[in-house]
Amino acid sequence: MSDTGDTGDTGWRRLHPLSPLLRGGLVFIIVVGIVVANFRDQIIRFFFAQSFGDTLGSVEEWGPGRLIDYLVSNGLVLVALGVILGVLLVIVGLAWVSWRFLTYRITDEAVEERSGVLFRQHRRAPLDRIQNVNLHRTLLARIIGATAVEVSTGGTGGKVTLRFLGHGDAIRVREQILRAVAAKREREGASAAAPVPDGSRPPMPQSFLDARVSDIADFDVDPAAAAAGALIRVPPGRLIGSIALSTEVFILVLIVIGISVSTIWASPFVLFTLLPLALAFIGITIGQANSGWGFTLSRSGDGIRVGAGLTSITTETVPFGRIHAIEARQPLGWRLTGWWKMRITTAGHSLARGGQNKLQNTVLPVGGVDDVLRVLDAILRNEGTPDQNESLRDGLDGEAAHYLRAPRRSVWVLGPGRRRAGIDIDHSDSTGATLRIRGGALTRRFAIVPLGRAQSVQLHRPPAHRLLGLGTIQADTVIGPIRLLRRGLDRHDAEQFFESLALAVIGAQQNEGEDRPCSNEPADSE
Amino acid sequence: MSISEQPWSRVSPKYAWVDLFVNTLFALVAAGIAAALLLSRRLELAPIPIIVASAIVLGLLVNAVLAFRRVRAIGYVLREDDLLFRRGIMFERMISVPYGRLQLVDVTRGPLLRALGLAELKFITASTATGVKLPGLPFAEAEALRDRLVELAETRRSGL
Repeated sequence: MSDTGDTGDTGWRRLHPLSPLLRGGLVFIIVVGIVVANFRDQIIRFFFAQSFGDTLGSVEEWGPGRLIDYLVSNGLVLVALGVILGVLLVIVGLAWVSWRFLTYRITDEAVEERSGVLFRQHRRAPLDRIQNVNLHRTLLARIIGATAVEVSTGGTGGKVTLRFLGHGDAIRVREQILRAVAAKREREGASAAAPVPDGSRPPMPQSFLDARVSDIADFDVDPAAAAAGALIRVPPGRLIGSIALSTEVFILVLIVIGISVSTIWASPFVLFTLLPLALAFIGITIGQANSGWGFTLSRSGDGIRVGAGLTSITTETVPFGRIHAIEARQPLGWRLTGWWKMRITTAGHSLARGGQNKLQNTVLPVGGVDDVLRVLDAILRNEGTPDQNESLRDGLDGEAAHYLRAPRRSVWVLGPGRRRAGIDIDHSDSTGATLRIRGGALTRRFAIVPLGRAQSVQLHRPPAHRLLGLGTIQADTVIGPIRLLRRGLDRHDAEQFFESLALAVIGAQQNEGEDRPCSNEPADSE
Repeated sequence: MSISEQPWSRVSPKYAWVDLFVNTLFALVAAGIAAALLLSRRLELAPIPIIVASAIVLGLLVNAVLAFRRVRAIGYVLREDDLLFRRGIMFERMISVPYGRLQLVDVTRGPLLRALGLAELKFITASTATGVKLPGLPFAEAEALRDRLVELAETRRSGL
């Protein structure tokens, strides 16, 4: 193996030598900051005593400053510096030892990480459990040229994080992992190539493995190809514009107006209640700009790769098989410009990290209708034919001609959202069948569920709906940010729709072998 | 076949007694707490809290008495490729779960259910929203149904 960081041990490699510094980076900076802030006067006086003389004066009675004075007057500066140096050496030594003991390797079977001196820890992510490999670079790491590699597996909190590797190394390691996964799939695939008639071969690990591996296979595209295949880019201007038109900024402006008005005409104390709120909104908007900056989405062999970030950059790969729902939203202010944002529900992710994954499931921070269609085509693996695009555009922004619409009386439960409300099954007789739900009054929404991913479908009739003779259709997917619910349909329509939806779901799941979602293995317990 | 004409299987009517017992107990506990709260005000009884409290308790009692209707409303059908389940009288709900999506089938028996020889069957998919529960099946029937469903789930998968 030509990569840097070889240890004597077979296959085990070490991380970037500066990784302890990066991991403790923030603490280190804070400590330096505190030291500088506290000893500023003494340091200045120590070096510029002649020129400034006594003008600085001594204010402290006793304390760190006085201690330094004492040390200076007794000629103990060298001793003190020696002590500090000693402490630093011990810290560096400990960091070095922990670095020496933190090793990882990629074998034919798993990605492994060993750490700890006294308490040894050994983490192992079997290749067939690996869901995706993400790269993450914080600002400090980027300055040093390091990157964290995050190997996530299905389980909650079950991931191996290699913090940090050199950037080149990180990319190599990712490709190596993905190649190992693909190689394993090929080995397994050879044994699976001879299909055994139903029942005799153990179905569970097979479909599981296939699902897992097809998730990430064919990932080792070289960066140039990835760049050439980049589907969507979000220019900074559009991102800033979108934030300026967002609901958050609208509320922020209202708050600022409120603050100004109230301080002029009313009690200035109102300021104290509104200010924290305003700060929170400023934080949100800055966060949006930061996380959406330089957003790119590209279609790689078996998934989409999204990357973004201003200070810290995250690259995530989402395999197609793990996308369970897609949603496009248009906040009120964006109607002026025709912008939409999109997010997805993925398996494993949202459950494991409570929706706190780096990109917050965003697959498009802001984009026009054409961008939305391109992202949808990529995720649904459409060819982007005019027909397909026309049907998507129709649901997103058009007349929704084929859709089952909400009757007039449903205005009592839907309000102004009635006019947009609609639901449809596209290509109901194929494995590519999707459920499409549109709705929204102020914020317009358009959600798509590949029916192969749906876990169950429901028909409800809560009291208000019963009273009006209405029904609600719901599709259940894995936990995620997208609600898949169409309220306020006519009762009989809803019943018929429920029937055909249940059939379409079964049809879509009957022949789709390879890319079933991860969480599909049965078990029974008592 | 339309939904209303499905040959619904029902859970054991005995389960209604469990439902009634639990809900009545809940209503009585609520009534006790309300009474204690009202009496602790040293008989300066304002009318509004009394009305509110008795309305809540009455609602809970009515809810308890509806146990028989509620249990009759629970139904399931094993169709060719999916499990169809319904429940609820006020909040009516109908759920279709393809067999291939069943991940776990749990059989649980609480002390009350055990006393009546019943068991609860719970179906788990990758979605937490599915929430299909069949309370109050006779124990043997519950086990047989579980085995049948696990088998169906298996065949649907290997037939892929």
